[in-house]
Amino acid sequence: MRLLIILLFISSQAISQSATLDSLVHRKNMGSEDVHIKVPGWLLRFGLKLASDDNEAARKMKTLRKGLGKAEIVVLENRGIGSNIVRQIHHDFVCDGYEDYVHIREGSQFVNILLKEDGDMIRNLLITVNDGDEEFVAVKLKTKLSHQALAAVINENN
Amino acid sequence: MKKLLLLIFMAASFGLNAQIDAISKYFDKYMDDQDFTVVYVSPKMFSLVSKLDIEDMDEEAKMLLKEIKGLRILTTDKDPMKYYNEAMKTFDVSEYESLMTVRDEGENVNILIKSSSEDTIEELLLLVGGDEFVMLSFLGNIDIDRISKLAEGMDVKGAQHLEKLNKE
Repeated sequence: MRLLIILLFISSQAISQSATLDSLVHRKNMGSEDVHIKVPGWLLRFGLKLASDDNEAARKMKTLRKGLGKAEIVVLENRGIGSNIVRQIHHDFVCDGYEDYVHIREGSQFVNILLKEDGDMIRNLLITVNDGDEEFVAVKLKTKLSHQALAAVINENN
Repeated sequence: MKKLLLLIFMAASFGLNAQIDAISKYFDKYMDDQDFTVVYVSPKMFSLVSKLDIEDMDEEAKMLLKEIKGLRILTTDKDPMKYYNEAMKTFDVSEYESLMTVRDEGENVNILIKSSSEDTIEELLLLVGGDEFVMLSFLGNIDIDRISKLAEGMDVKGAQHLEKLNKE
């Protein structure tokens, strides 16, 4: 029984990530300039709250701040991550329930936004930016943002 | 009779799907080309934004967002006429209704549509060739009178011609 629970836990962890991204950020593959950090939701909200004390724009983001959860940031430098690898990463996330929302390419920069929604709630957000083969950035955020909260953020900032 | 109608419907929808596929394949072809600026906004994004209660957005814009099912923009200033001619050859232009053709000072602008009814556009394709190649494609069920709204705030060459459409 214990083994079954462990196996279920391991499999649920495996499908919640992109296998391609996981292998890129594996300790063995990380370069000296690469960054892979996980920020707990409470720390992110606390940091943004501190920033908002003397920043008007951050203060207006109060509604957004409340909806933020755990964040994972990956920055990979000069790893030759081309469009095929980025496409594979997106495919992994799409298999995990994310949906493509926006793609923008301008010159060597390619920005992608993928979201995972649950009813009228945005649960996960993934933003990837790659600049040719030189730099790849991925920001994965757990969120609890309702459409109303998102509209409030937009209205507050207009 | 029912079978015949069903066959006609299937053939028509197959034709539309094939054409939409041709457009997405054309975009995909240049998706990784650094000479091109590529924008793709999915139907989900339009659906999400249309659900948001944004104060500054007027009713007309909200309706338009509900009607649009996807947007693709492809532009380049490298060899623009080559890509313009290639696009004109790639898509079966005869399947579209030409809404506007402009030739002015070396610039060609073509606005092509597929309509599902007299007042509704299913697909809009804007092709511009001149000192820049622009290809813009909208999918959805868009009210023809709202087309000019599309052009507002869109900093894309040729989009200004869309503003004239509902006035004609």
